[in-house]
Amino acid sequence: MSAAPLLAASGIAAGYGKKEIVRGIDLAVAEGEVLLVLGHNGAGKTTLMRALFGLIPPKAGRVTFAARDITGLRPAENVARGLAFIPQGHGIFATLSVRDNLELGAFALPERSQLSQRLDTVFALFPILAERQRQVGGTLSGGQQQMLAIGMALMHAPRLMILDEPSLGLAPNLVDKVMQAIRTVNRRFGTTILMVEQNVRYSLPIADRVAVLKTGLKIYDGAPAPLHDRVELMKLF
Amino acid sequence: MDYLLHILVMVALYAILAASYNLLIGFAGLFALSQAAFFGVGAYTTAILATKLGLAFPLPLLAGVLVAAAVGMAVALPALRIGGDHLVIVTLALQIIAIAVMVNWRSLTGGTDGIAGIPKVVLLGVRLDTPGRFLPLALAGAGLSLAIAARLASSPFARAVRAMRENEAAAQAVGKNIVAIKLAVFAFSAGLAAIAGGLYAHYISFVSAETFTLDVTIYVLAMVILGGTGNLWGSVLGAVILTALPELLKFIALPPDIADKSRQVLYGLALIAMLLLRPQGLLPEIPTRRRRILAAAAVPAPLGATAPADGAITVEGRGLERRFGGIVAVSGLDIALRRGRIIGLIGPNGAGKTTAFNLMTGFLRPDEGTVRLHGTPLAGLRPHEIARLGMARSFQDLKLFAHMTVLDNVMVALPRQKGDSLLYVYFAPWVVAAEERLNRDRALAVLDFVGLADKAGETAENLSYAEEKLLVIARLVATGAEVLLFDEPLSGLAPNTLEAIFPIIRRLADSGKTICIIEHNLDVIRGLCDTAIFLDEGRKLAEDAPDRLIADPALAARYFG
Amino acid sequence: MDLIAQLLVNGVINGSHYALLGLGFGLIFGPTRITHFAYGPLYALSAYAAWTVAVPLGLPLPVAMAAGIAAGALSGMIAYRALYRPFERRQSSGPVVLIASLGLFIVLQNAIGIAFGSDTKVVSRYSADVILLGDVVFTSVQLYQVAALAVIGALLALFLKRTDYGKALMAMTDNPEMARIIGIDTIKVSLLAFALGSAIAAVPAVLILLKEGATPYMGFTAVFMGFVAVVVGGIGSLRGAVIGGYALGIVENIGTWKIDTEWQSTIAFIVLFLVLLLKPRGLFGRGAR
Repeated sequence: MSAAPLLAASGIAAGYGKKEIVRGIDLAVAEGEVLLVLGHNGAGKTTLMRALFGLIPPKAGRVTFAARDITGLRPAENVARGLAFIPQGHGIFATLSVRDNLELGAFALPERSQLSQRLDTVFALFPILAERQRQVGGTLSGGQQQMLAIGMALMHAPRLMILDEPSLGLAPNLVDKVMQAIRTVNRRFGTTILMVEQNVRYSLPIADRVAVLKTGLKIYDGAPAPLHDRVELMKLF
Repeated sequence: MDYLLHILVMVALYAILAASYNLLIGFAGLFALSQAAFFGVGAYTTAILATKLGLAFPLPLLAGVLVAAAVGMAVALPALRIGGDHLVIVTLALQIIAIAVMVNWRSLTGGTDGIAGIPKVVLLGVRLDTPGRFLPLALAGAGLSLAIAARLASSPFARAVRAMRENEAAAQAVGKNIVAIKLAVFAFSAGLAAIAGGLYAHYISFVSAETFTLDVTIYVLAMVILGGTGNLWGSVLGAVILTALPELLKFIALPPDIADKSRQVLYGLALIAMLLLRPQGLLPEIPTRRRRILAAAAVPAPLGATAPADGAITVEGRGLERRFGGIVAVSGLDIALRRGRIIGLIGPNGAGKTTAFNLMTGFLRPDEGTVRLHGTPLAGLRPHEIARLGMARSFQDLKLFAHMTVLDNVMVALPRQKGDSLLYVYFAPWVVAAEERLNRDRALAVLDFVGLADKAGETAENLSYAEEKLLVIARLVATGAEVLLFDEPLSGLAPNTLEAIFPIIRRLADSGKTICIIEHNLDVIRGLCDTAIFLDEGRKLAEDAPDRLIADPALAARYFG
Repeated sequence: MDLIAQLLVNGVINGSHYALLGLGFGLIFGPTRITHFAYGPLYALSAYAAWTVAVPLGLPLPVAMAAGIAAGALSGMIAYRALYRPFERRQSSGPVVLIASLGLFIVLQNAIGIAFGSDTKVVSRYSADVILLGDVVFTSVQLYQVAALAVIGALLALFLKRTDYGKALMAMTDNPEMARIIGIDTIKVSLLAFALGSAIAAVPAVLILLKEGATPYMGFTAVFMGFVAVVVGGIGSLRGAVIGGYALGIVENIGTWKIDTEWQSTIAFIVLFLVLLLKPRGLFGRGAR
């Protein structure tokens, strides 16, 4: 399988103000795979994702998506090309209803006629969201909010979904559910997944490949199997 | 000639106003819009006492200062309760209420007519009734006010003020009472503005509400921004520029009404231009002089008295419980920390480790349970009080004082500084100066201890990742607290850096400190900790020697799956 | 008893005025988080535009109202593009943008004074009808003030709930970053917020022109009351801004029952303090980020 990667980043440097948090990272995500990004607090995982998606401009480096250069493009443009981003924590519109949230997720959808079809798909995947369509987003439980966030991203049928710590703040059994949902999205719809996580326990099993970041650099990029040895894993933190 | 002298008098008065406003906005980061109101309170109090009670200079002016200071604190208090976001609207409301009082309370303030006939000041037999004669007094007043402001700005108190501006939580964590600081700054700022008000009243001999509207606040704000926030000389410069420059308009023949408005248009544009082109202002905030660090006179012992490293329990948390909405962050947690021991706190993300620290140090109140330090319950105490009692913590997201130097970051954390009290700053400056010299050495020793001595003059935001982590440790050690809670102090550090830091923390413990570390890196736990506590889902699951804990397959499974 | 009824009616009338001001200010502040002090002078500008069309140009009043609204919307958009956008690009902090807004406030207020003079501009040919309803008296202009709120409020609610741009405004108010992430063009939506908010503010401005006349300083009270209505009602809640406006209007007027009219505004601000002390987020404040 030597197809060109769906997303390829080379030499990415990024940070806030004068600070450089990501200091030169190459990353490639193959179409259809689940790439897990691990690393200690402050390693640059979130900064890297935000730079890839265009929320912050990279200070250096190049990003291509489906062989087209997307370096420095704004989020709206990336969404149009088939990327989706689920941020850490507050990934929904808490004061709007579940249905409004989902419809907003399809804001960038070129064919508005597909809206109800996409809604059906999301509701089929997450029946709980169908039940609570009219409920205000902020009153959903943590796990349901995360499902809503994923549902919102699915609304415009992205090719690549970037998730930043989807397990944050969730109880373990919910983390499991969320990870299973992510795996389903990958298997059923073929959506490529690029996921940052701190919770190794439930995320490692669904990963096809793992990259580990440390103080702004990538120190591991390969199969998940060796990392099942916890001693080996700890060395990387 | 008289006109030029008049301009100089106004420059002097505006310099006082700009400096007073700078203390509030520039140094303390307290965004208030009521400076003209404080100016007006000073002016009206002076006017009323001088005309109605016939009191002679300087009594009415001094009374004005006290009244304004009281008003300043009264305004600050509800605004503090309500939260910083609303300081703008609350102080704006004050500004309006002040004008309403000036205009409507006719019996006191003369209403829209204002108060006329304020007696001129008579000094040494000379009646100061011309600009030329008043100028020396105005300059003296400005000189005195600026001296007072400058004294404050260079004191340890100002260091605490700036730390509060940079990060309130971290300032509390190193023992600063930020409510008291805010009140003090408001009182000073208002009091200084009132000096200008009192002088103004005696100079013009007439006060009325129009002189003290929001427009004037914005005018003074423009001076502060132009000159540079955080720099008092900048405020003087701003006052000079914005008072003198518009006078050039006089060369264009305009009807006075239009001239006045044109002047305001100009300074509004100047303000906007400044913010776009050079928001920090003309003069920079004065950096701590970067002195060459002389070989630190050997002060090898870490801060604070040493105690026997005998494992006696110093901190005890029992039955701690904390919920956020439906989520249980900590439940039924019992934790005991011991003198001379390093205890590790490990567990998966979201296990409640940082919450436990927050509960112990007053940043969060437990829903149930108690925390005791040497047997004394800490219920209801605020973070700065607990820090002063001897238990301090660091933050996972660092919370360094970014725009302050490394040395200042550490110095501000040193305990029991007399320089934190304005009484000492003004009435016993020699005590403060002596203590500052001592504290500087102490701070350098702490920096030397963690290996950052050569970066003492560097601004904190320019440090590398590893240097930042070291500064966090240094700042915590500097508090002199006997119980030190480190929240992920070492994550991301290279193995050789870790090896260098271990002995530092070991030495702290050996000198009798109680140490607790939250860490993910099991090498740290194994290499450094005497005992480790495993938390998951807010509960303590195990407490044992690190090797045994890590080897336990059930726990490893919980940690990693 | 009649007095109370009259005071209540006055309260509702003033409340409608403040509610409209709050709606306009909140519509700008919610999505953009900009404390737009220049809202005041732009409100005044709308009144002056309407006056210019009605008096020197002598055109009918509805045309003048339309001119006022258009002037408001246009100047609001220009203010965003010319002043606030450069600061957004520099990622300037909140206080810096606020100070810039104060600068614009000063510039505009005085520019209006220079251009039009400080005297009060009135539309002398217009005189409001006096209406008697039971024991309560009010004028036709005051009736329009109440009606304006009802109509604008209803139209705005429909717009926000049913149209794409309306939903985009609500999304930005709720979570600006998430709005960017799902592909909303936040610059376009901010322009819309400014246009709409300023247009809404133009309506009470023109009504005040008819009622009392226009002065260069009329904007100060307007922005202040709009700001207070939004804070009392809760940032991010337009419903709250309306209720905040009514609370201010009613308390102000009921207060005059026992206290001299001059202290009206002071009373209103005491209401502000009390509400904030009890509910720091405002009456309907949600944790809109």
